[in-house]
Amino acid sequence: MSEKHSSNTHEEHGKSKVRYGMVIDLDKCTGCMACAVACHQENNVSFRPDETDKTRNIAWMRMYFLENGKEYPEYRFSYLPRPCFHCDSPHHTPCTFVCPVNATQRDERTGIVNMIYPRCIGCRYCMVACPYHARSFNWWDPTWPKPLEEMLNPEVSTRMRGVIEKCTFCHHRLNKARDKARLEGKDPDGVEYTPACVEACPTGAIVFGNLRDPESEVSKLAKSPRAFQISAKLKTYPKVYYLSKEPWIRKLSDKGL
Amino acid sequence: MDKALIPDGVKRCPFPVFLLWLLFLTGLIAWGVWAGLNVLLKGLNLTGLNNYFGFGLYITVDLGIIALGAGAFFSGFLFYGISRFFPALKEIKKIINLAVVVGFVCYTGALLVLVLEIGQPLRGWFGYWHPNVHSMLTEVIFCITCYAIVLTIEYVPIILENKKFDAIKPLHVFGHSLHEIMALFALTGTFLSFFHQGSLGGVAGVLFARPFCYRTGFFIWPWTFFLFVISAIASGPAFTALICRTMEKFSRKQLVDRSVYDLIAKIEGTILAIYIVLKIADTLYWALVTAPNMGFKLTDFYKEPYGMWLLFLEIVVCGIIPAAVLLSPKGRASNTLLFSAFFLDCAGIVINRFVMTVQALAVPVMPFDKWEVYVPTIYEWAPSIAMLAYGALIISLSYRYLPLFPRERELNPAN
Amino acid sequence: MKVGRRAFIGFVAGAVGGTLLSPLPWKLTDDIAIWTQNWSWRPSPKRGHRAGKQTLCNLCGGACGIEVDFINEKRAIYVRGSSVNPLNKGGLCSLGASAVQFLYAPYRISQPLKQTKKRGDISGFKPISWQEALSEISKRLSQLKQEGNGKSVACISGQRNSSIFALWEHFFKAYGSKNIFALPEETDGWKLASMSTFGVPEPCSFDLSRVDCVLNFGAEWADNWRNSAPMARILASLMKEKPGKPVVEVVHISSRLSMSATKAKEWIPVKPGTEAALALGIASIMVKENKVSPDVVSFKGFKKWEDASGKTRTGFKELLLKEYSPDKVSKITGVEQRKILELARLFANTPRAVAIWGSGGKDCPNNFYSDLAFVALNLIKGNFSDNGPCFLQSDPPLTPLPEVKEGWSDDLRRLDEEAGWFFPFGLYSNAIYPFLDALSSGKGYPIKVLFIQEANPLYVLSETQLVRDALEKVETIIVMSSFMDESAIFADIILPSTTMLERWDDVCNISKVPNPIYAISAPVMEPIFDVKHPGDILIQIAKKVDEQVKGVFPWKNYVDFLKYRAKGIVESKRGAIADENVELCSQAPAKPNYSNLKEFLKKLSKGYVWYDSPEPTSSRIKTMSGKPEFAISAFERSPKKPEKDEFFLPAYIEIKPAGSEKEYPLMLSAYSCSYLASSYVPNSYLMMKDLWDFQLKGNKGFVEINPVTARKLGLKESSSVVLKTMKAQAKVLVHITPSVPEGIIYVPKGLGHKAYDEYIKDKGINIGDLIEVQVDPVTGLGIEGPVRAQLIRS
Ligand SMILES: Nc1nc2c(c(=O)[nH]1)N[C@H]1C(S)=C(S)[C@@H](COP(=O)(O)OP(=O)(O)OC[C@H]3O[C@@H](n4cnc5c(=O)[nH]c(N)nc54)[C@H](O)[C@@H]3O)O[C@H]1N2
Ligand SMILES: Nc1nc2c(c(=O)[nH]1)N[C@H]1C(S)=C(S)[C@@H](COP(=O)(O)OP(=O)(O)OC[C@H]3O[C@@H](n4cnc5c(=O)[nH]c(N)nc54)[C@H](O)[C@@H]3O)O[C@H]1N2
Ligand code: SF4
Ligand code: SF4
Ligand code: SF4
Ligand code: SF4
Ligand code: SF4
Ligand SMILES: [Mo]
Repeated sequence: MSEKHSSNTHEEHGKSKVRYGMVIDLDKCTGCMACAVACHQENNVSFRPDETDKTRNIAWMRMYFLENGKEYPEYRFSYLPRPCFHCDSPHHTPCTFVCPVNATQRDERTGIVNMIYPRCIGCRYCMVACPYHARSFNWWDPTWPKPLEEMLNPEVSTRMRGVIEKCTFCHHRLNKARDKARLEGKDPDGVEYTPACVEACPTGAIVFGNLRDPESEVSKLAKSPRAFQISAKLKTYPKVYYLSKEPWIRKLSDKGL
Repeated sequence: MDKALIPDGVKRCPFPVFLLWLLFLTGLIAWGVWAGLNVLLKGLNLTGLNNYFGFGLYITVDLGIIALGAGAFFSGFLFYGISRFFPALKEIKKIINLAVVVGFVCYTGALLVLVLEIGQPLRGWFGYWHPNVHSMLTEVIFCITCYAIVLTIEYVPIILENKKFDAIKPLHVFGHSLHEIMALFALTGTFLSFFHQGSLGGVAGVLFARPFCYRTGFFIWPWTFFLFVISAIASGPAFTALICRTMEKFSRKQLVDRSVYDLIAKIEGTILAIYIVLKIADTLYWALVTAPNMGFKLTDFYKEPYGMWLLFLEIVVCGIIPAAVLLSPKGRASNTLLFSAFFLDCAGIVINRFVMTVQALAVPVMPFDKWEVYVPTIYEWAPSIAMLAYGALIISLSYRYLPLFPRERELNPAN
Repeated sequence: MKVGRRAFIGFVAGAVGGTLLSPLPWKLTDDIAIWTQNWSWRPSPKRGHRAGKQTLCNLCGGACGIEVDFINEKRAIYVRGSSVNPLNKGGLCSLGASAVQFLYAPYRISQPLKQTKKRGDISGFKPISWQEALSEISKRLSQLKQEGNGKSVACISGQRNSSIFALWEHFFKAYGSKNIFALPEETDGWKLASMSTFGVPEPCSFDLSRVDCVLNFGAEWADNWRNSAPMARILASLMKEKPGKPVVEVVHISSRLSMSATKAKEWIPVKPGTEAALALGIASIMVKENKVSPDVVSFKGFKKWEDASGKTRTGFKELLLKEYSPDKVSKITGVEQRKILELARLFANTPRAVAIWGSGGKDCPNNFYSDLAFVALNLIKGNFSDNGPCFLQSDPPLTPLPEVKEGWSDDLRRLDEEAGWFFPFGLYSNAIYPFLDALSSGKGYPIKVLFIQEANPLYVLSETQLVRDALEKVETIIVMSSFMDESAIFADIILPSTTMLERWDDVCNISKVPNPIYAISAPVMEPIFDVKHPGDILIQIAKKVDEQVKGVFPWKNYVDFLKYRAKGIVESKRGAIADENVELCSQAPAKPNYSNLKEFLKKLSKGYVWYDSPEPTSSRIKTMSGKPEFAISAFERSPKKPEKDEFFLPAYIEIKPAGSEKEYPLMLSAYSCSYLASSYVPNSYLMMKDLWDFQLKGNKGFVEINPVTARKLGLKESSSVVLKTMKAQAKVLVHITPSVPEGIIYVPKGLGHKAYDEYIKDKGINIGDLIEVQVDPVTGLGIEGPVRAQLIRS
């Protein structure tokens, strides 16, 4: 990863004050998966009796398994929680660029890449375009065994079979925070809010905030010498950064390192 | 039994034999329709597709068939467009009807399969209503639909040439008038087809975060845009010729002059040679510049079952070799060599489409990601095969009841 | 009417044209698309106002603050960690995050049930009313008591850290039975190690907020070291670089590369089960280099000592120097001598260095000597000095329960004792395996009624077959559970209980945390079914048994009981209610910030936690010598004395698993993951979703195996094998990973349920079926060490 990519300040997108982003500290992450459970709970992500085919299941926050490739006892591993990176590549993200029906777009005021499920025709072009497998397709009708439907969150619409879904940076929470700011007579742009995964993490490994605010913790961490993006050479400009001091983990962040 | 419908002066197989053939094809189609309905009702979980392989057999078949269907637009372009400047191209007239039917079959078939391919077919029309001008797929959706309409319009006058229809005065007049303005449609079709063949190439080429697919640009399009156009015209007419040859074998009759094949061979040989040179240049640039810039080595892209052999097969066996055969007078003179070369040419293009859609997705992009393999299920094979059967059905009916080949009577005087 | 051909064609053309020009097809197309956006079979959660209610999570016996989000105050939809709680400070674990999935789980039991067919047949359960159920049970209990057969009633409780356990004990004391057990925990052993060393059965705990070096002997804090969310928070924060402060050196010592190991600054791989030897090796070097805490010299057993019979015995110092020299320890543990020296010096020279230990994530007791060894290492370092970092846990000053006058008679014996088991520490021991062994072998006396309260022994305990055999012998099994789990299926009567979000519970103390803690998990909603709190049930039953029992059960209901208990804290005027700024442990003495019970309970029911500063160890010691003791004094009074001197001291004891090495060339061990639940509550739906596909694939579980072992056995990734031990065999797939050492194979805990629903049932294997439990001869606790195993290619 070259300095040029990692120090992307997400400045090239218009004048808005905000560029929401995330930093995940892999040195702190204990792989407890609370983030994934909380995310899927908050966002009505469906599940099936057999979720072991990871190429078919829906996960907004998905764990990846990193290994240093050595033998016992030099072997080390790490988990890598992966939400959608809400890529900040200029003009378009890999996925929004290709959607024929504008069912997924990047909101240039916030940098959040959203999904409009009722418009998605299920062509899966965006899924093919995303190198991070952040997108899952609804191969089946989502169902919840009774009475589990009671736990569904009405702030997030359930999806239907045949459409794509992915992490929205808990966009509905942003909307709520904006509404609240408006009511309080504050500027809704640039409000702070906390996504479910961040809230859940017991070790504080995930930090979320405005990358454009030089004072925010997230923007400071994103500039840490431990910070890197995944596959920065693709020039997707992920707004999700990772932290690690381990050279072998950093080496796995991009091809050809 | 169906004598009244068969064009005058030609011989067709006995009706019961034809009926058996039709039954066989209908059986295949029914099987495909059954599978297709299942997919529509129960969802795409019946296929072998997954979150890694968002594209699979359906798209490969679509892309392959659309490329091979390019015989229609390119033949039309040669005949209606430029034959007045190159009189030698007038020969194309002898096969142009077949080219149109093949094109019609390919495009309508592709559209049908496309309906299965998308997760929300009932919203398919959102592509027209909420188009994203940046998406190559938008371009594809628009162009394929328009071109399918154009091909229908081109096909109609051929249908109206049927003895019975022709006897009806207004239909005769209508058909004749359509014939008169066919050049206009043919050229419109050429334009549309040029674009969408290109945009199909663009579909892969614009995936800027997918190192296997991504190609740097020329003007506003990636290289694959142009490669797809050229490869389509380098194979479309060859495919028409192959079909024609197959029909000749089936009917045990000569349907077009040998000179037609020779002409197509020269044209295809030349274009294929140009294509393969460009494809090699593109591959080299991609392997040496584009991919390394994204951190990838060529060997990162090939792993069993999608090994290097695919690249060799596509470029050497199905590219350089057929181009050489088609360009050599000796190669063209031998029927075996000629049609084998046509076949390899077509196969190479299908491999190219497969590689750009399926293999492309097997390649892990994140360094810690896995190499995945895709196995289509019967629910993908059945509609794909049914689509081919549908093509065979339309071509069979057209051949039996329509005067597709203007020279058939003269070439088979015994009848 | 005759229609001409031309007219017909014209009509068709006109109709087609007309339809296309009309709005009809366009409207229909649009409607169809809209229909796809509102499919009726896609659930539509009812909208409404979303707001959170604060309470406490105790799903693992912990006490994390949580906020439960409700829609219109009715539907619970989401759980987040609450930052007012000093334990979790905002985060939670995957189990806590799943709380609402358990609330609405389809496998919840909605009403009392009675088995009408053969035991274990789930189709035989028929609903009965609460009244019927409770009167049947209390009639049976009073009858047994009248017959003087009170001892034939037993209980296995799964909730030891709440007051309900005290209530059960109270009930059993009044009723006249000693057969009360809890599911095993790692700290069961710690308690007895403290009993031996300090004379109090309170487990050791650690102030990790002010340490500079942690030698971690298999405390899998990132995998499963209760309580996971607070432990993960505390230990992960040790790894964080703080400006101007050196990073805490965390050295992990274990044989398997766990998550905790991979997170550590350094990982020292040791031969399995030899962690204690390394601890003693370090102690030995400290002794040799004269780096021991000065007061240690006067502790009984450090030097040569005289036992009660006047016999002079070897001292710990001598034992260390003789038996645990670096070369010997190196041979035992496989750690290089140089490394042992390095560790010893790091530990000795870092001012605040602490040794923590665990059971390799299995949350089961270690062998007694091994726990003693770790306590001894900390003693030698002086870690039990009054400001820590090691403390003995002390209970919050809860109101004592009413005195039971006619209770246990002098000749009343627990079933295991009656059956001939004897343990020097048996009196304080949660000896559930000896109990089950006696039960299954029919020794001692029969058990007529067994209560199983929110425990799932048929899954959670190892040697599942033994447990099953034991339960078979019980006349009536009464299960109090929220879920149709393995044990509930085996019940004769099921009394369905409320889940965490629907009920009152308290939590007294948190494992490994030195501060006395009291917290309350208040209900945030009405029960959604006809279910009751086990505490309410117990109080109701107690009142019906007879007047004597009724006399010591003065509470109306369980909430009344909790208030009674909590009153003690308020009256003690000790401790304080923590807010978000409080860091436990490193506190200056807490000043009371509550005035009356009402206020106290109100605050606590909102997820706040009462805490007090840790009690100095010196004030807690109750040994004869008044000081910590290395020598195991209990043996002096015990009829069963060990022969050799070394068995009177902390030591490394090699545990030899049963079976022949030839037939079973491999060793099998269990491990835990933070994202797998292996206790009373099963994995939630969303936990199952996140599971790795190398831990579960379809319904197949995996065994983890080192690449070298795999090569020797000719196994490839995902090969199908039969895993066989002396106890059972199971079909599994192979996962090859260098995280496990050669020759040792691992299976995760938390899979292989035979109950619940299709999302959980029959997925993977329950390692408990395959593991053999060894009963520790000193404590009577069940030790789940590695067992011999073989892999057969299939
Ligand atoms: N379950 C349930 N269903 C209902 C109702 C109900 O109460 N409960 N109410 C009914 C009523 S009154 C209505 S109005 C409809 C509403 O129905 P919909 O309009 O379908 O409402 P949602 O599903 O909330 O949101 C639609 C989509 O917009 C996306 N979205 C969110 N923010 C943005 C944004 O800023 N830009 C873009 N482009 N997309 C965004 C969301 O991700 C979501 O996919 O639902 C009806 N259906
Ligand atoms: N957070 C969030 N807030 C939203 C929205 C969102 O997406 N997210 N969506 C917004 C939108 S689009 C809408 S339309 C509103 C809907 O907001 P509301 O209009 O508040 O809709 P409901 O929640 O359905 O509440 C309607 C009430 O009418 C009652 N009711 C039902 N039938 C009858 C009847 O026949 N007669 C009478 N008198 N009462 C009846 C119901 O019991 C219920 O109490 O919510 C808006 N607020
Ligand atoms: S991570 Fe994938 S889905 Fe998310 S914005 Fe980037 S390309 Fe799109
Ligand atoms: S699958 Fe849906 S969101 Fe993705 S490109 Fe197609 S229409 Fe757009
Ligand atoms: S930001 Fe929200 S949607 Fe994205 S992974 Fe986190 S919880 Fe899930
Ligand atoms: S919740 Fe935090 S510690 Fe747990 S897996 Fe997620 S990022 Fe890692
Ligand atoms: S650690 Fe225990 S108390 Fe805390 S959230 Fe998890 S289950 Fe609940
Ligand atoms: Mo609405």
